Amino acid sequence: MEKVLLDYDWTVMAPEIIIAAAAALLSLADLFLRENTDRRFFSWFSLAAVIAAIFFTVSRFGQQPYEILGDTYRVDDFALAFKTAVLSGVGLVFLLSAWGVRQEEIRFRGEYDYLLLAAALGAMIMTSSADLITLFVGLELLSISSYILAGIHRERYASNEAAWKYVVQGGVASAFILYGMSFVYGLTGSTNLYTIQQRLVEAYQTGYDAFVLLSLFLMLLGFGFKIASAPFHMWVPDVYQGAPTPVTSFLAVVSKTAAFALVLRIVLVGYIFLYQMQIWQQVVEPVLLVLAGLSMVIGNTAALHQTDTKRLLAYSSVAHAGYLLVPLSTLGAVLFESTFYYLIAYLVMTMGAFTVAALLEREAGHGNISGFAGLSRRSPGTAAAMTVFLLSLAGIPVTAGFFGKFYILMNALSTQHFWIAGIMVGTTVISYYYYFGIIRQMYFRPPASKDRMRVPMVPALLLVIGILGTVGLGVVPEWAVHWIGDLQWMSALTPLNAGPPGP
Amino acid sequence: MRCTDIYIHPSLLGQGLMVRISFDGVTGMEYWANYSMTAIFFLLGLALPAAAFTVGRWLRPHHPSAAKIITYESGVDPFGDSRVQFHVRYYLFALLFVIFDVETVFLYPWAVAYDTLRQDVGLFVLVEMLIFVLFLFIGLIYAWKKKVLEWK
Amino acid sequence: MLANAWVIPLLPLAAFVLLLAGGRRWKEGVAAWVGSIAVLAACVWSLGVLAVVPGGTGRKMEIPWLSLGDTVITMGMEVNRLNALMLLIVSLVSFLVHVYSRGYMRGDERFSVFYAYLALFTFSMLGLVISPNLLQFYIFWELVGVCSFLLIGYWYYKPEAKAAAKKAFILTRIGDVGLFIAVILAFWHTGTLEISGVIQAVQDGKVEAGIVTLIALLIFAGAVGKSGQFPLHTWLPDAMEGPTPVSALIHAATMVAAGVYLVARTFPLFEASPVAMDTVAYVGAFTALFAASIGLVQNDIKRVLAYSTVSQLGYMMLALGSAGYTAGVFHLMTHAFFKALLFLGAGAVIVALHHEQDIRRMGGLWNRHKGAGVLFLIGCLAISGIPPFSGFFSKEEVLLSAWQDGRWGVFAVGVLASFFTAFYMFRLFFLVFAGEYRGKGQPGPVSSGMMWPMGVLAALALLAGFAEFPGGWLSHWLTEETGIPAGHGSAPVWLPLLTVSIAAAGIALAWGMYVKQSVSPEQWRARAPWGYRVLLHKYYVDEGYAAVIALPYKGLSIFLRGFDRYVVEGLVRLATAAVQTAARVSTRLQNGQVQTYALISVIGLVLLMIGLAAGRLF
Repeated sequence: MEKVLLDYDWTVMAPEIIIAAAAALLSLADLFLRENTDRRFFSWFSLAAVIAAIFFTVSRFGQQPYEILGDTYRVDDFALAFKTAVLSGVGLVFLLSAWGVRQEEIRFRGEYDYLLLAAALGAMIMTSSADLITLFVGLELLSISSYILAGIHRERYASNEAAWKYVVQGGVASAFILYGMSFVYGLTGSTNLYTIQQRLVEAYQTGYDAFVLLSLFLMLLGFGFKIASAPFHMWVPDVYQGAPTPVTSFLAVVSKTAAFALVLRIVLVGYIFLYQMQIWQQVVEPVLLVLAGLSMVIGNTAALHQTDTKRLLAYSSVAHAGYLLVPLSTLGAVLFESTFYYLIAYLVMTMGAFTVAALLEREAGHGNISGFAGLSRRSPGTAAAMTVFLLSLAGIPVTAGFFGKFYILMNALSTQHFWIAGIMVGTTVISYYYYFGIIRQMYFRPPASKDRMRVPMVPALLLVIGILGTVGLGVVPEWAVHWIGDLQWMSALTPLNAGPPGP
Repeated sequence: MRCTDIYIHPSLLGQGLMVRISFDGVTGMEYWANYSMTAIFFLLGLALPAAAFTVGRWLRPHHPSAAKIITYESGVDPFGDSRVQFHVRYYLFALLFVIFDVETVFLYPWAVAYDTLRQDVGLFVLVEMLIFVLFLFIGLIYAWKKKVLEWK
Repeated sequence: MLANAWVIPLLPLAAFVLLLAGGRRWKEGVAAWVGSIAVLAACVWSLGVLAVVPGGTGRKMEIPWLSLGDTVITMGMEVNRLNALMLLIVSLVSFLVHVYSRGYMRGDERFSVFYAYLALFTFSMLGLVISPNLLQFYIFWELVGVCSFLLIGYWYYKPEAKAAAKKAFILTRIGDVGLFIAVILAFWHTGTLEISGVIQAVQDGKVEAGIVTLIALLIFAGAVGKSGQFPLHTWLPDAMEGPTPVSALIHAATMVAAGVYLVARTFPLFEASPVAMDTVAYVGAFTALFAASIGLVQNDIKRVLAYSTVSQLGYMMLALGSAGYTAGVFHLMTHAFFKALLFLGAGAVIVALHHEQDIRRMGGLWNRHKGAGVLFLIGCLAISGIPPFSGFFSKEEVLLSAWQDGRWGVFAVGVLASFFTAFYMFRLFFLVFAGEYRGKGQPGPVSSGMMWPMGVLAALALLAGFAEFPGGWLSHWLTEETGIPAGHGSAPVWLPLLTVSIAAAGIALAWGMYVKQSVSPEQWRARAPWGYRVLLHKYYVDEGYAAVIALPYKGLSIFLRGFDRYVVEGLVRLATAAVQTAARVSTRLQNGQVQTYALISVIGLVLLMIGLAAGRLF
């Protein structure tokens, strides 16, 4: 018997419904409020919605995987974990926006907030889709909202340029993803990931091996764009630099996390059979490792020459995408754990760094690294916080970044991939140069002005959260690791009502 | 090419039937053979206008004058500077048009299949469409409040 | 008390945090009190631990810190008798140095920062001592290195201090790399990072002999760097650019002894490998003589002491290498006391002479600073090995272990080095305290706060020897239930006679040259054979030393410098150039044109697919 409406457990979609409703409400409110009304409370309202969504997401942990909307939407631990990360990132971005986005600078203050919510909704859909079409819809919802957000500072040329470049490059990437997906559909006749999982093997074994691989690589180009890995990273510096700083932090943190969820889901569910057939090791792994290595090398070397903080962080983001690709390519035992741990670590430290960047941008009126000069004397707390974030980004022990890298390195070493581990270590050493360049600016350069820098409550709160996260994850990684390790990651790989996953 | 199995994805009924054709023991060559239909359509596409023009040439009388030989398209001269400036409102209207166009395209098959769907998924089909229409309606309010509907 | 021994390092850490928070707002007195009280508490606690610590494996406590698959990395503490002894030595000397610094650093602009660094160092050193596993050990090992770096470069506005700090950091890092590889190797081959676990695995013969040797040698490389053994010794004399209390605490009594401690802690690994034992013994012996001979001709009061430290550390290594576990640890302990005393004495002299450090411009201080003179003399007698001072007993144990291990050459070198030691120490003493004052101005006073820590150390330098003599109490206590042989039985009768007479000869020679001046260089040159002249006349010794030892060494160093400059540095330059080029290329590609961006992405994909196709074909 077919199920009817009320047979479904709709609470599993509560987070999505909350976010969508909040976005709809805000867009209506924005239209009917007078133009000069202060819309800053929008950010607080959105933050409340995000927190509610986080609550409903977290409360579902540990339950059986559940599929809804005709098996296109899937709620399992994998989806929940990534959704929590995405929502936490969005929450922090809203916190930053509540302080950092001002109506006198950005006329569409209201639109900013509900577009951000829409983007968050897209990201959430990406994390828990079980169907190529919903996946793509989520991806486009996220992307299109981000395009507008990148250009929301309409009076600034840099912001316009960022949006334009982003939309063109994003369009190209989406086209490649769609092209790849169309091959998958052509080969399997289905858009459901778990049906694809079964039929792609048959297609592969019946002589369509080249097409299976082609579909994967076409999609990889698009995915590479979304996660900002080289050589598909070219948009990253321009867009990160031009977009308003809270939007940049959104792109760096939320967009990347959601994109990794998408990549992991599609690649692992659809193409995991390649691993069992030893094809992965011969074909896919080298390609992914080359992408990873290239990202590390390009990201870390190009960052050496940057003078703009956000641009520097953009290249650093490329490098981090490289580190993050390593577990996926080597498919070690702690693939999900190490990737997810790194993403959380990346979330807290990057949000912290962008908060400081936003503070200084407001203070100095420009985003040049010279704005950091003498920060230790103007605001020792901020300088110390930034030092913590930079040390973590560089991967110095007892910070979150160190353990993230350590896990990934362990993953690479335990699967006998020494050369990528070598590149990782080597490029990490290179990265010290530019991270420590900022620290040098803060502590050893004379400040441009002698006044103390005031840090308002909201960014101060963000810095505290960032430090607690960065140091907490670094000092007692065990807690996070335990929590992550207890999740049923593997349930993401098997269809509902199926036996335990294969070897 | 033998179609041995037709697979209908139940969730996507509202958006038309998804047909899966599975190939029994086909080889790579046969895969390419699937494209033969595309090739035929391609050739037909080429042949049709060619035939139309040729036949027209044969049938119509031929008395050209200066006014008659200029190319035109719905009353507009298609040649000129490539940087033709349209009023930006054209685009806004075009976008609105596309949105409602898509709505119609979506609504129509839904209405046709409504009874079947009703039996399968219950009242949810109605709720689903109402949500869709609601969001489009918010879009319309947006356009209205942003004064897109006024031609000024 | 024992179960909570992990609190001991946290006390100075708390002081560090307080000092950092209190910062410069606090007066000097407050900062000094905070640091001193915390360390005193640690010291008292250590004393309590020492009193109750059981033999054998001692007391261990761990909490899981990180799990990697099946491997659990823990953090915790382990207190056995060796650790407990080290805890006491470190916290005691640190406490005395804390008190002493109040006077020495008076008026310094960053007074509280200095105390904060001292507290941080004490925390790290104590943490290092009680580390139960190699990873934690390594973390603290690096941390003491960082503190040493910070404290050497404390007067960062002096270019020499900056250079010295950098040199110390880099040279010790060379050894650290070895240690790190050893840690990884040990983990690889034994599957555990626990020091006791690694030792157990080695003793059970689960690890190949070659690997054991390799691990032991790499551990020793770390010790060589930290303890200033040849050839990584050069940072230690330069480290004297730091404030003198720092030299006393870090570069004489504790941190540099960490290398010796490391070898002692992992002693069963070395015992399992004759090659490693030989290496330790020979490097130690060579360093002992080598550094002592350099010490003969130095004119900077702290540098003489620095070379003497290097030389004494060489003794400890020599002892450990000759299976003299207790001798090495014993000498470590006595040396911590008398060398800290000597450094603090030197600090007092330096303060009294308004920061003059050249011994040629000192002299005649005996009359003005009799207290300091007596204390310094105690230190000199102790280090020279005159009974009943502690150095006599420990040095005799060291030489005895070399003798009974059948290492005649090592023994001879040790005896010769002890002659040198007595000579240069008393050369120093006489030049500073005897004769006429040769400097400018008038020597100033020394505060009593600086004097009484020296008094305590002097008492210890005098009495510490009786921990072992008579009856071998210390060695019995240390080795109880550990499976390490306690000692070598009693010494042959001639050995103390030999060492004492050798030391006395050195002292007499120094006295003859610098006090009585009966040994005039010109007369000696005329009368004695050239060998004597070279050894005794300090100018010629310099050159003789240069000709006999340093020239080949210099040749080697020129070669090495060339190698370093053209090959190593070339490689470094190549690496930086490659990085820079990569940076330039990737920045150049970033030309702002979206077309280029998309093109690069597509070219990237095409290249990947070509590579892939090629890979599949072959």
